[in-house]
Amino acid sequence: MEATNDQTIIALFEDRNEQALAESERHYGALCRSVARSITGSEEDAEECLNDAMLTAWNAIPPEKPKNFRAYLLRLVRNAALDRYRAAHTEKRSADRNSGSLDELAEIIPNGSDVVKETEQREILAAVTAFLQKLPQKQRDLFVRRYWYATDIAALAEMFRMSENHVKVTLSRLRKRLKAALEKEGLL
Amino acid sequence: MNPLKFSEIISDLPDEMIESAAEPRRKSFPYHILTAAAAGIIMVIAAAIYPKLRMQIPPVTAPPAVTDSAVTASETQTAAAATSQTVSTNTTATDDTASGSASTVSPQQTHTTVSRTESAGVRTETTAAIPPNTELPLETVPYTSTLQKASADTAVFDGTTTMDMIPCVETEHDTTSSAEDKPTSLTESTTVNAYPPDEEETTALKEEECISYQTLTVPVWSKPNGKIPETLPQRNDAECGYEMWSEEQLRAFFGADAPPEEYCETDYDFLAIHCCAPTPDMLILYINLTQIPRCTVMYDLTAADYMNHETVFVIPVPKVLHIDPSAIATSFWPVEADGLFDAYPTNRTDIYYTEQAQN
Repeated sequence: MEATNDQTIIALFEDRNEQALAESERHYGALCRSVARSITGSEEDAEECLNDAMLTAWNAIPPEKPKNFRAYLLRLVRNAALDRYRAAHTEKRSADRNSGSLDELAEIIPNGSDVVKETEQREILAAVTAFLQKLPQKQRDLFVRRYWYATDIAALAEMFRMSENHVKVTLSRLRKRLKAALEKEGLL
Repeated sequence: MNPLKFSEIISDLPDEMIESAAEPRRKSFPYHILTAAAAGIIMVIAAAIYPKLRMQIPPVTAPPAVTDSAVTASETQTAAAATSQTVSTNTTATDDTASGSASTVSPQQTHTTVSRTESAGVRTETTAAIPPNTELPLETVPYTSTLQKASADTAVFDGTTTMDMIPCVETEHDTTSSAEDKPTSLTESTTVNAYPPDEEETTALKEEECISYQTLTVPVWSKPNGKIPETLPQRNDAECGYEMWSEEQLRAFFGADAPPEEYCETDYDFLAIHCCAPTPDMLILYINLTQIPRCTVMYDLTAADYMNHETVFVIPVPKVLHIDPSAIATSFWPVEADGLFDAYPTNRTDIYYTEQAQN
């Protein structure tokens, strides 16, 4: 069903039909806003992020033809939200609004330069991907939900039918294991 | 790198992971349904099979009558086979004065003896060849049959009295050539085998007899482990006999090293036997398991060395045997070894035991 939706939406994009934006909004708008809102902490910023992502997709398709339109759109929204978060964080020079997942990541990722070489980025991504692939699906989903979607703990507990404490403990263990994996690869 | 940069880097995680995490609840498996289905299947199977299993419990029947008729040569041979598993295979010729009649087997004749072991309805037979030129008593007191009867009766037996009934035999055995003095040492002896007493070849065991025999390998500790003294003071009745010891009692007697670690678990009781009279260095201990009908465990204490009147030796007894310490019946049965055979008629102790047990 979603694949059919994706193909239809991509076809509309390729036809330069503005209905593509409406269909994207209808199918994936809520999820995209949720991700953006979790990162930026603002409903308005989330809406802006979604609009930016829609514009980026409109400009990129064609020639791009994503295999998974939902993941593609989510990634655009997430990147837009992170850009907006960085801008806001730089301006305020204060505690970030998204104190959840990034704070947790700060436990394993030391604060350093924002400049990372392209090759190093690829190595880190490959290491994280390999680490996640070795995890059981539930733990992998939990990790991605927390650190990719930036879903809060309470929502995760309800989503995965776990207690909040259990979610926190599980995530803490996963972070430690990820840190060990990255250190083993010499990436930290 | 910082957390924000790391977060940007992982934006390019594979689509599959992002998709999978998008709707995690959709992938949750209804384990409760599986559990309920499995429970239902098990209940159905149990309901179907359990009545049949109950019907397959073998009935307990009365033990077969034992006749006190004259024993054939095969009985004696069978007994010899029982001892030859752990003792020297050179069977010593005997002249049983108790029976008063003995004959010599032809030197050219080779006897094949058969010992049987039956467990869970499966009987195994082992054969042992007695070399030619061996004199075998053709007629003797049927200790084997008597033992069978005793075990069948599962009489509750007073061990103290039994120990008194063990004859104090003056042996001509050279004590200097035997085990050295090892006072107060925890001597880990050799194997203690519990195996079934043999019965005469012509007696067929019925399936429903269900005699359960155990084969065990456990150490035997004795203290002191020395010579038989010249004088043979007797213990008081109260000092003889046997009792079940706890680990603490065992340690108090043998020291902190007893029992070895592998017996410190809860799987063992410790049968402590206080000897009243000197016993030879090779003997067999019968234990009637009164809680297991028709079951006799026979421990072969082949390396217990000399035990004098002060000797206490301890056998770890698996709790699975369910030995009731208050209703245990033991007897010592010396077997042939270095001339002791002559001094100890093989059946003498056992006769005392079984007669007493039947009384």
